[in-house]
Formats: sequence, structure tokens, C-alpha cells
Amino acid sequence: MLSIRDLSKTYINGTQALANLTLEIGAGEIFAIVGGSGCGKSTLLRLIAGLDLPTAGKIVVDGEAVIAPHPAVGMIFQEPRLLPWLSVEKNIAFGIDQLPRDEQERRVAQALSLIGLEGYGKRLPKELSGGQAQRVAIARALVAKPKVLLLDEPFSALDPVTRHALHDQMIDLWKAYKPTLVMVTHDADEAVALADRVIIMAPKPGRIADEILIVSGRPRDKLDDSFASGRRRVLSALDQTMKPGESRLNAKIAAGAGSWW
Amino acid sequence: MSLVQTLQAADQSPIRARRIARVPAWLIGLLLPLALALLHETAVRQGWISGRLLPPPSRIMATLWALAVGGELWLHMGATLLRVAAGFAAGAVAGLIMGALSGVSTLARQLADPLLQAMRAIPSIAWVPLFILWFGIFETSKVVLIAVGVFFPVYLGVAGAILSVDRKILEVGRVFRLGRLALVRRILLPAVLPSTIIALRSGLGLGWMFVVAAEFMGASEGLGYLLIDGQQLGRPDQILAALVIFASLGKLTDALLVMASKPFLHWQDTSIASAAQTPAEL
Repeated sequence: MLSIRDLSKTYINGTQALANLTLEIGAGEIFAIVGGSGCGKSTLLRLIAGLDLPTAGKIVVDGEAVIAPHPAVGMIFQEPRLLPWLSVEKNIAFGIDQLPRDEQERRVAQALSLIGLEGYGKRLPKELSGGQAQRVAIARALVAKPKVLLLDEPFSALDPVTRHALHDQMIDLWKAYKPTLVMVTHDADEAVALADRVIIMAPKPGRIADEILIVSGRPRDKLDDSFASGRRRVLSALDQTMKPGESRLNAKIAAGAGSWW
Repeated sequence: MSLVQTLQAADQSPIRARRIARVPAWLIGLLLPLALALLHETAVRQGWISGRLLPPPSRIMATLWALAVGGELWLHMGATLLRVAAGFAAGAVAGLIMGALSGVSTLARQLADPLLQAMRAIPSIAWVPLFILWFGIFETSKVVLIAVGVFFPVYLGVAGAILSVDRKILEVGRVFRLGRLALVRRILLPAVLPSTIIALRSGLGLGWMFVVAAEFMGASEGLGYLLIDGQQLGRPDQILAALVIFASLGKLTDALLVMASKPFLHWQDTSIASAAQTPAEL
């Protein structure tokens, strides 16, 4: 479905954000990318979205190479990014402008009921709470029926209670459309609550440090033992990625200090 | 489950604008000038001050009335309004076009912006001698001077607005694969509209400023002429009458601009929901 081969990204300033990353993600899979800041996880997502171009390597979606935003790939950002001058329903329909009007209306109505915001269609984004706005953003991405949906820390700006409710809702939405979900997060709980597979990325240069399979079914109980063990595995893998980086940083500081004297 | 439902219900209460029964804003705005006028009137009537150089409201009103009945007022107002309208239209259109070019195209910006910024540094009144040489002392030079005054704030405002459009919102357009034209129509235009209207309002304000300068440089009609005429005849009441007209016309045209743009700006999430209540730019 989504295959990534030898992907590298080096920014103009010389920062190597990604180095030789290879991944294979299946259709309908929920895939989480976890890592500390600066590990290239957001860069990876932007490359899959076609918003940036890789320095080397290839991304193939559904048999087609991604060189610009691809019709089969949708994206949900960290912030809702709604257009403030459009009503909720027009925001949701933003990406399906080319469809016949009645089909647009049908999909928007369905999406509104799926995200639990029936009757909110005529409101403006300024009249929504943060959680509501993010749900509208999710609906906007879903009505275009993408085969791959990218999520860039979509719940990180929300309070824990809203976040928890949205996790459940996200799974319901996924069941309705069965897209491939690729989610970037820095929250181990979130990764284990949602994903089938979690990769842990390490920085400098951005690469895959570890891969963890979450085998438990859905719905998942956060108080369950298997949940706790999955969470522990993700966290300890995350710890591993931090340590070498830290020691290297310390070494650098020491070296710097040495030359200073 | 019930917990989640309760939480969703709590989540769904939107922020509503506060509606407090109160005195209309325009009435509050009238209080201070009315009180001052009343105080001045009383002071003159009671003989506390002479009112020779600062005539009381009743005398200004009487002068206005006489000008209106004699038909002169309409002649002067019409002449000035026409000049402002022509100069504003020309300056605003030029400012919008150049501002849009400079905002959208890096090459156009690098090419034209330094020159325009340097020209902006010239006090616009300094153009007057040149414009009189070029266009004569009649209407053309006046309209051109007003247009120059209007051009710069509009140019700056539009170019700045386009440059400061949120990259994040443009990315939404890219993810949905909007073409160049669709990106402009569906994202860029609505996004820059509020700043554009503010730019047009400052442009209009400057237009009113420059019409006086233009009419000072030799006119036989217009509100600026009334001012000069009042000074030469030693009639402060006529000067003040012209000032009152300037104030009213300036406020009225600005309010018209705000009213015309209001339907397009209802979505703005600002502390003052009504644009009509924002203080004037100048």
C-alpha cells in the first residue's frame, strides 16, 4: 500500500533529518511513529504527504510514486487549520469541491454525524472548541476518502480528556472507512492505544531504531496488562534512543569545554 | 460510556457573543462633542469668552445654513467629493495591483519594492510643484496628488497582507491539490480581505488629507477653497463650517466602506466583532 525505500532528507542547512529509511505499511493498517523531538518523524510525514521532496529514495502509494500531494493521501495536522471564513460544512467539503453537490452534501452529513457534530454545519470555526475544531479537521480529511491518512500529532494540543474521547472516535472512524493510518506522536500511550505497529525513531540522523508489534485487539483497555506491557516496551525503546544521543551530546559539550580552556 | 457522553456534551457548548442590553454605541460617541458644544455655547452667551476667533456652535450652524441655502455648500462639497472619489479610485486600483504583484511574485517585489519604498519617503506634498508643471493647476494635478497619497498605504497593506498569509493554511490547499488559481480564489483572497479593507480605509483617510493640500494649491471651488477663503476674509466661522463638513464626510465615507465590507468579514474572530466600532486608522 505504502512503501518507503531508502528515503533520505537533508535540509539545505546540512541537517540530516532522515537517512536511508525503509518501511512497508499494509492497507488498512494503523501505524504509529514515535520519537523524541528532532528525530525526523514530522519530516517523514511531510515527505509522504508530498509537501516536501526527499533528497534520495522513493515513496510509493498504491503503485504510484509520490512527487507532489497525492489524491490517495490525506493529512491531519497538529492544529485544525480550518479556514476561518468557511462554515463547518464548507470546511468539511473543502477537498471534495469537484464532486456533484448532492454527493458533497451526503458525505458532509455523514461525516458530521460520525464526529458527533450534527447541527453544527452552519457554524463558523470561531464558535468551536479546540476538540470540536480538530474533529472537523478529521472529517475534512476523511470525506475525501483517502487510502492513506497521515496524522501529525493530531491530538497533542488537546486536554487529556478530550484526547481520550477522540482516540475512541478515531477508531470508530477508521472502522467506517478502513484507510491506512500513519500517525506521528510523542505519546507512548497514544501509540499503544491506537496502533497495530509502532516504530521508534532515533535522531541524528533520523532513522528507525526499533519496531514493536501491538497484538491486542480492539477496543483496548488502558488498564489491561497487555496494554501496560506494550506501553513499557515502547517507553524502554524510546529510552534507548535517547541515551546514545545524550552521551554524544555530553561528549560534545566536554570536547567543547576542553577547547575552551 | 455515559462519562464520554457527558464530556462530549460539555465539549459542545460553543462560545457565544455576550449580548447585553445597552445604549447604542453611536449615541455614546455623540455625548462628548455635544457636551463640549453646549459648554462653548453657554460660555459665549454668558460673555465668559468673546467667541470672535472661536465662534460658538450656533454661529457655525448659521454659516453652514447660509452656505447650504445659497447652494454654495453643495458646489464645494461636490467638487471635493469628486476629487477624492477619482483620486481614491485611481490610487486604490494602482495600489491593489502593485501590492498584489509585489506580494505574490518575489521577482516583482525585488524589482519594484525598493523604488516604491524610496518614493514613499518623499513627502507627497513635495510632488505639488512638479505636478503643477506637468498637469497644470486644474483637476488633473489635484486628482494625481490624491491618488499618490492613497496609493502607498494600499500598496503596503496589500503586499504585507499577502506576505503574512499563514503558511499552514496554504498547506491545507496544497494537500487538497488546489491549482494556482484555486489557491488564490479559495484561500489567498479571503485571507487577505480584512487587511486589504484596513489598507483601503487608511488610503481613504489619506485621500481626504491630500484633497485639502490639492485645493490649497489653487482652486476656485471645494472645501479647501472655503478654508482659504475664510482665512482671507477673516471668517473663522466659515473655516470651522468647512472643518465640520470634512469631519462628517470623512466619517461617512469611512463608515460606508466598513459597511460595504462587513458581509465579507463576519467570520473574523476579533475582540471587537463589529468593524464599525474600531477606531479610525489615522
